[in-house]
Amino acid sequence: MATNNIQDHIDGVLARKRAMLARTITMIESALPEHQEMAQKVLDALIPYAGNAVRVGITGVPGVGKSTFIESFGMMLVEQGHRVAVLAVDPSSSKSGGSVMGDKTRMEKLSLHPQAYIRPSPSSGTLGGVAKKTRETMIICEAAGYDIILVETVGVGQSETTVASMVDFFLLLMLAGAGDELQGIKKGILELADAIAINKADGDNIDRAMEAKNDYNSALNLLTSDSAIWSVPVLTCSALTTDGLEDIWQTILDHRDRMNSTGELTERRRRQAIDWMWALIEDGLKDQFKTNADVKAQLPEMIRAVEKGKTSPTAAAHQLLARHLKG
Amino acid sequence: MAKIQKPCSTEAPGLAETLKRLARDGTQIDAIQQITKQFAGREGRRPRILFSNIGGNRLAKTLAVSFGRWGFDVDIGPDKQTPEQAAGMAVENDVHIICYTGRTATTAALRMVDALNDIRGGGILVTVLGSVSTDDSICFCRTGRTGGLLVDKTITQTVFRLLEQIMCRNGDK
Repeated sequence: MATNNIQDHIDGVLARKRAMLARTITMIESALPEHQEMAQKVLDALIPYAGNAVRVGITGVPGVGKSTFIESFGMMLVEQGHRVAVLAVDPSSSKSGGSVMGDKTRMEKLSLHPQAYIRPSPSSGTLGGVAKKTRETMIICEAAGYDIILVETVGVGQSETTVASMVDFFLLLMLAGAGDELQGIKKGILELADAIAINKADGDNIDRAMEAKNDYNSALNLLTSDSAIWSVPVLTCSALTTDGLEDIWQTILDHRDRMNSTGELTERRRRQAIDWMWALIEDGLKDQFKTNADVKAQLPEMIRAVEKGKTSPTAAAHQLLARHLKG
Repeated sequence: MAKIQKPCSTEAPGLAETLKRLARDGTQIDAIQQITKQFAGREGRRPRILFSNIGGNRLAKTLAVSFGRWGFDVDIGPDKQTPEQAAGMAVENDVHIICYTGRTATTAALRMVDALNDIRGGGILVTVLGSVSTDDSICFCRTGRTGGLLVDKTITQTVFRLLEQIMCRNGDK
């Protein structure tokens, strides 16, 4: 629920009030134009206070243990004195529009910690939308004094690319002993990762985890890294026993130092700002298209024609786009 | 402290049974989906509900998934949560409604109302799923201002009433 005073939001976030932080994020996520307008003003005021946090994206296939990993990793960080914000994006059902967000079920301790803030967000359909909202939410959390932002994304579809384009470090969680390891290596996703961690390396699984680590290492040798200063390490960890978590954090810090000293972090963030701008332009164009009166009038008819096979999807798209351009 | 009216006895048939029947009857689902969609159009987001302290309660799990199917954004909290922790999470996630599962439903509701008032003075609809008079009853009460418990004959009507309440509450402001 958005309160109407923009200043209240700005002051509340800067004063680190959780309720106000929560309401500001709701306002950012809102689809109403008046909320978006207010959100923009709040963001403009808060941007100067943001940008210093470590932004880490975490992805992996369902069942890899992302939530449990974040619970253990987050707890380790808050115990070191950090303030951690977790943003989790959950896919909304395209059928009913609703969503079920169960991340906190597995973040029992972290969700109660006063130095942690966990906010699950429904993806509400559009992927571009997620990007926009998550980026802005990240800024709000940074302004509220969180110095580590963990963005969790479900390892399906395009969301990795989107999240990778907004964080400083992208961690890919993998499993050992879950079938053919090399099957899991999709070049597109591997290219995005700054580190790979084989999770659930505990108990009987340790040997298999080490084996998987070697496999991934040799697979990575075949891929050329796009960064001259960083080669992607493969680590093992266990969210359950917390083994290896400290190493992962150290890797993130090393990466940051390296990026900072060579100026690549600034360069990366600059590139991300451009990406962000494009994402917003795409969103804006899509919105414009959908709200265009001419398009709206013709759309139902076109949909029926395509459904019945009277018009090809390509022809329909061309016609609708032409309408849009005229309007 | 916010007032909660006396829990009333429930004539609700078994909730599990109602959910099953509803799942078979597509028209009812459509009707709720329509309303949640309208709600999203008006408020800028879908109605959001937190299910707390579910534990091993299968009924609560089914209900949570059903709400998702009806077009709500559903948060599920840790299996075990105190009413105060649930209230805190409800504020963090900025939900419209909390549905708390517990044996001592009325006490839990009162504790949540108090906790919410401490944090930000109400605004979230508090509901509990548990034994008020029978296991399968849902009772609803509003935090802050006036209002009382609602127990309806079917879950569909209950959901309509819930939506009505959060809509008129937002409209009040």
